[in-house]
Amino acid sequence: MTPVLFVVAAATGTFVRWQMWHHSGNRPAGTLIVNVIGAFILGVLTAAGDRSQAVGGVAGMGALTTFSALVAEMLDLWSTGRRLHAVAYGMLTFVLGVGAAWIGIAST
Amino acid sequence: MHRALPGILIGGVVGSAMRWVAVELGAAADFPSTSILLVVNSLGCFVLGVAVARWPDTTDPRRLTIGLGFAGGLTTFSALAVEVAAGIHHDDYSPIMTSVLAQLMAGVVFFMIGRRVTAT
Repeated sequence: MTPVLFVVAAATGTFVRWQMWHHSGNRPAGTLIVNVIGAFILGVLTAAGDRSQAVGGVAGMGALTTFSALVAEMLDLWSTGRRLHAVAYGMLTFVLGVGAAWIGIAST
Repeated sequence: MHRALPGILIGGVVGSAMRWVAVELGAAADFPSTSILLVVNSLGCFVLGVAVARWPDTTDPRRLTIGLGFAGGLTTFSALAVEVAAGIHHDDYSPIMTSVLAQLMAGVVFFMIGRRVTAT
């Protein structure tokens, strides 16, 4: 993996994630969308198993998706009394994310 | 251009590079990939906890650089989702469920530790 491709892929993933966060008004919907889309694309790249997996997967999809924001948003919902929303958000992210990754792997 | 954008992009690239180094070092030492994910995701949650407590304003460029950029780039959900999907494909339900629960619990605990040590 060349450093230039890594930087471009990571910066692009970070930029898209920031835009989703910005336009969703700092709500969990933006994080949910990037995590599910990123899981699907990484599934496709992993099944393809070529060089694109290293650049697009590790740098691009790794930067696009986030675990820290997921945890922070779940805790924010929980601490503001929306505990059912917090649990539902976490479960929805994992179910849709794993399902998307599964489809991505199977479709290649 | 948003004034925080350069910091966010630099933070994201640096976080992603640190994750890549951790993955490479872990693979060289024969650590399971789920263990490496656990380490980087826990560390990223700690960093985000620190950033949230240190800069409560969600639009503060320093919080965006460290929290959204660096911690977001360091942590990853897609790799975890693919690990779980692959585990289900191989009928390895028990280790996968344990891994998911460990990731979530560690993430919550490290985020709260980061927030607590910064707030005091």
